[in-house]
Amino acid sequence: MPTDDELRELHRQMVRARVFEETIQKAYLEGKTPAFDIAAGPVPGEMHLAAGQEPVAAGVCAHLRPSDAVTATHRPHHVALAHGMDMSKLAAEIFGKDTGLGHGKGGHMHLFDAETNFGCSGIIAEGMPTAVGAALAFKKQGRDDVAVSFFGEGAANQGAFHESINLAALWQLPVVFVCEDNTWAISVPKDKATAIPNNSDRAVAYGIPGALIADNEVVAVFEAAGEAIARARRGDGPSLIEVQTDRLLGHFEGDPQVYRPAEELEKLQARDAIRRFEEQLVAKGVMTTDETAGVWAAARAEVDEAIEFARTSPYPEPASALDHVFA
Amino acid sequence: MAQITDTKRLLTTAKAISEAIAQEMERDPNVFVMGEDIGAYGGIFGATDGLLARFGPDRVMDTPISETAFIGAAVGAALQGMRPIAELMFVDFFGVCMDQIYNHMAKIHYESGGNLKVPVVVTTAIGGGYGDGAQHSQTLYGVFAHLPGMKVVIPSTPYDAKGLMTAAIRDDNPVVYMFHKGIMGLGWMTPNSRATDHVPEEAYTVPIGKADVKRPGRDLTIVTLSLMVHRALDAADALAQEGIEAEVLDLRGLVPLDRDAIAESVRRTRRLLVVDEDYRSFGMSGEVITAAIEAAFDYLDAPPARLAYPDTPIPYSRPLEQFCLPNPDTIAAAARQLVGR
Amino acid sequence: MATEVPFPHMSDEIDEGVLVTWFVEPGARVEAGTLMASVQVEKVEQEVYAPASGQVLELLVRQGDVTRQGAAIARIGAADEATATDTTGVAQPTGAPPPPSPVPEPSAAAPIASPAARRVARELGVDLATVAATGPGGRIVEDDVRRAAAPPAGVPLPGVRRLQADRLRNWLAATAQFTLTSEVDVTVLAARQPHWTAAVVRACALALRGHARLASRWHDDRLVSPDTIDIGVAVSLDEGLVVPVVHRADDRDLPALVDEIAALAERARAGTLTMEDVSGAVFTVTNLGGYPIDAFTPLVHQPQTAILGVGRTRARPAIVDDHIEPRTMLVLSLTVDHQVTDGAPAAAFLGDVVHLLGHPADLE
Repeated sequence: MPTDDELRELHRQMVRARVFEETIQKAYLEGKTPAFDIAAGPVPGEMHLAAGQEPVAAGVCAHLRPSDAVTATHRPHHVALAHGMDMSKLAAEIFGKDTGLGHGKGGHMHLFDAETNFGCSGIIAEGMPTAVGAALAFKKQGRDDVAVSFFGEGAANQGAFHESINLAALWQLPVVFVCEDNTWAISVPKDKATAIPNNSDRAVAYGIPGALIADNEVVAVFEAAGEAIARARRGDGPSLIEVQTDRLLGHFEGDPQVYRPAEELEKLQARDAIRRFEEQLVAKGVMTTDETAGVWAAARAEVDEAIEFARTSPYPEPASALDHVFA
Repeated sequence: MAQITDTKRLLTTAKAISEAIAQEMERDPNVFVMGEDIGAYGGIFGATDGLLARFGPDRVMDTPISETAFIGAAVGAALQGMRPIAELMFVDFFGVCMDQIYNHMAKIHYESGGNLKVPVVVTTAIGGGYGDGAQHSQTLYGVFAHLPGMKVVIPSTPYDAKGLMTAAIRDDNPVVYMFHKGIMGLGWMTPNSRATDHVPEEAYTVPIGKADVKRPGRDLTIVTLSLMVHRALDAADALAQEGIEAEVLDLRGLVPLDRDAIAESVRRTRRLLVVDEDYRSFGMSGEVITAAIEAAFDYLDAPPARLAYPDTPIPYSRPLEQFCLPNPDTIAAAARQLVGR
Repeated sequence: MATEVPFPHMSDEIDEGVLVTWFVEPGARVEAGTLMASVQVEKVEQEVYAPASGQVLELLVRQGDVTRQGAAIARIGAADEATATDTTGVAQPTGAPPPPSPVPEPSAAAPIASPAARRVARELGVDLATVAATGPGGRIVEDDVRRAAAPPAGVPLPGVRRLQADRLRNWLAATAQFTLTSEVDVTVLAARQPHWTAAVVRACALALRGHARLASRWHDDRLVSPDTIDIGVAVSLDEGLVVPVVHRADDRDLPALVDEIAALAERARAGTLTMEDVSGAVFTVTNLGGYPIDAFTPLVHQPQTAILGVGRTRARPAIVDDHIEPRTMLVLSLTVDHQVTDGAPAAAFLGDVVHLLGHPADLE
């Protein structure tokens, strides 16, 4: 059970992530209306936002140090922020500026931060082997750091998922596999893609513990993750956690989501995890409504500052595109 | 060709490679090896022979048949400061794990704006000529060379093999190290006298990205690498009997490509023949010819020529496979035609 | 299957022959035995007949062209047989039909040359249009340019020699020269140890009085008879032949001729000959008697019509009164322009010279 401070921190991380995603969403759409041109505006390309999935990031990353390795997916912002990435450098990278994490070379799907040992990949499931490798290194280096791999329920059908879990289990590596089941792999729902109802049940195939968290509930995530991470730190090997979470927005921004029943979005919004959690915190007297409002205000201020930093930062020199192919 | 000379000791290419790895593993505790059958077996082609006994299973790790997982793990471990060597048993298998190689290993340094290093060596066996069929005989260096972000190193001699392996391990960049099965000096393959040679005992490096004139000449330049260097040298010996002196330039790798060496040689001899065991079209031979034209156009006295593997899957039956492979006779014939005799 | 029609074998000594006339055209229908062509080897003509029936598919040699005896000159076949094509080249398996290689048609003005050849041509200032190509497909290669740029082996003619060469060549081409030889018994003259050149000059000068035509000089297309008998005497110097002239040779007796010839030779060697010294000769004497030369074919000097070459004097066996005796013999070689005179008059003149040298009392 988390302490009150931990509860407040969980709330803060979720609110930060939500405000960030909503702000990025608006910035992304700049210059792309009335006719949607994916190449136009201050944030070109694809944009995958994690509004609704904040509990997974907050609940897991609460247990992590900066030296723990985290790999995430094409939908990485909430995880990156929860693990402690500098928001301004994140924003600047999304805006393609020289002050971004990768000097504009990576962009929103290829975020790499040495300070928080964070990386992500736009290829489904292919961040999992990286996490396995980090865990392998920690074991060899005698560190009690762990690796956490975030991936979606769609990734659980990719070969890399099975190879990675098998290898981690075989070698007893300190890695935790976290599956964000938001139901949708772009437009294909889980029950049309996965042969069994829950990926947590796949854990037994590799001889590792599997936990299923229903209902996008941050405290449940926090507790399951705490157990798994402690297990890994102890040297007892990997675990698999599956969280049923909600993707409030489209797969990518601009996704018309015609494949989604209209009522579903309404239902999801009605059970917004952050609002639910807030209500519980207030009801339990952990926070007042003023305090929760203050968290939102602080988050907006932080996000605004980060976005402003991103907007006013310079672009990299065009010829610097040729740099950094090799060290 | 500056090299340290040691007059006493002969090694096969395979032993030269494993010696390089062993010496680096002694020197740097961050170096470790992963792959299928690289431990107890010593590598199917002998590249890791003796390492398990010397360094133990924690540093010489046999893996399950999970290339995506263990090559990806090599990337992940490298990001955490280690210097892994991962063996892809046959280059033909790259299809099952190429994402980890070209989208992750090769790109993370760049995507991070130069902030993260990925010092991985992927070793792999290439080449055919011994009847192993379409899926086990390819060279495919053109595929890897084409994709940015990874160095591609391809030795032809025991001396170069050891020096280039040491250099690859010490390089902070991802390096794909490709060794031809026919140059390894394996007892169970067709004997090859050029697969054994003097190799210094001490650790040394051969610079990555520098070609080597294996045989100086005057009348034409044969640019090639790997086993085809051996074939070209045999052809050059025959041509010398006819008064044609062929220069054999061993590229020793494709990324970086030593364009200066190609240009310098062609400026002297005026004629270029590229011998390429990889598929003819859209690969190494086209790139080398273009490099020569770009840098030495005014010195070409004949159109550059190439003798490459045809654009066909590799057949199994011996007469079919041997028809497709460049050999000393066809190389010499192409050279004669180039020189106009 | 097409039938080839061969050029007949007509000579064992000569390979070539000429196709003189075609009597058929491509497409013509022929029977076995139809007359197809007339051919020639060394002025001997022969007819060529069709060896089989069919249609004339192709004439392989043009009318008037030289070809080899035995080579095919035409093909006869069925009406639908295509022309044979030549497929050569190193087999390079590609696994797919080889793409057509786009060889750009060279313009008539621009020669095909390798990049190296072009660079060297630029460096050496060689015009590629003047370079002979030895590369495949008529490509000029670097060696071709270097060869074209190199100066030819050897040295050019020095001026004096060149001039002489030009005049001899031109005069030879402008005339129709023939040579008569005769052997003279000069035993009596030899006993006096004469200056041979002077003796021959005197003999020629006296003989020319009776054979003025041989002393004519051409002036454009007119023959001019001489007023005086001025005879040129060839002197060999290092830089070439010089021909100083003994004017009024017939007016000088032998000793005077000896002096004059010596003086002229001296001036020639000293390089002090005057214009008058080398002008006006109507006849020339050239003496190679100091060498082992008997008969030779001297060339007439422009604008003269004759020249007498003098060989060596030698003891030879001769028939005198039915027995063999050693006599001193000398061969004279008279070259004459046939445009001016003929063999008989020339021989008569030479006969007179022979008589004078054989009877030296008449030379006084």
